[in-house]
Amino acid sequence: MARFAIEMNRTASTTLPVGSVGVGTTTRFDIYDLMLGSEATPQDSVFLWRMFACSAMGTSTAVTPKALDINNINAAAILGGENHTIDATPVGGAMLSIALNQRATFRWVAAPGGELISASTAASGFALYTPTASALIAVTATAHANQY
Amino acid sequence: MSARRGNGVGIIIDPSLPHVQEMDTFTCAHCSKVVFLHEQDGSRKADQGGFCMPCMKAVCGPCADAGRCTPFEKKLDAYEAKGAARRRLFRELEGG
Repeated sequence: MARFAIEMNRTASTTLPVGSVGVGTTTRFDIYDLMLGSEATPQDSVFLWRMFACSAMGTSTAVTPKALDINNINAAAILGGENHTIDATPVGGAMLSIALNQRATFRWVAAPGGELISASTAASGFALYTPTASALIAVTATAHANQY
Repeated sequence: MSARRGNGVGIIIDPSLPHVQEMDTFTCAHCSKVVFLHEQDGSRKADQGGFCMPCMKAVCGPCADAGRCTPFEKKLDAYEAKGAARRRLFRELEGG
């Protein structure tokens, strides 16, 4: 098992993901920690953040996962993506949904056993959206993931 | 505080709030949805989901209402098996 951090940035969009975390091979992974916020000039804006499981990751700029353990010798099978130009393919309802003011920072930490697990099917994973964004400003999300 | 009780936790740090807002969460054992047990003002949510006796895990409201035990791990296994069958077929087709 290896742990990685994936940071995703983009100018908020109400249709395209902030970022995605998936796998290119047949390896399971889970997300156990998620941080959301905005680095734009503080102002009152409304954001709805939603995370979906996806069966395809769309087209995006690749993000290199950063190993959280410098002694980790496992290569990352996890693929990060940001600045999508083609949408991911969400499956089912939102797995995590939170409404936030732009000024706020949010962190979710899973209980042991309560991680968001992705199937070990290539190109499956998670994508994070801001379907409601009253200001299209810079937003950032960081996910910590366990690769099995 | 939440982690000590075995729950997940959602933390909102908002300058307009008087303090850091913590909300207990759990992940539904049937659909893997993250369920917040508190509203953002700190009060407890009316719908706390349910508990599945066959798998002995907490589930969200809609999954509790469904009344069936379909653990998310089993759904993942089925989804992966479908992918494996497709890959086998492609390999056989490529092999001629």
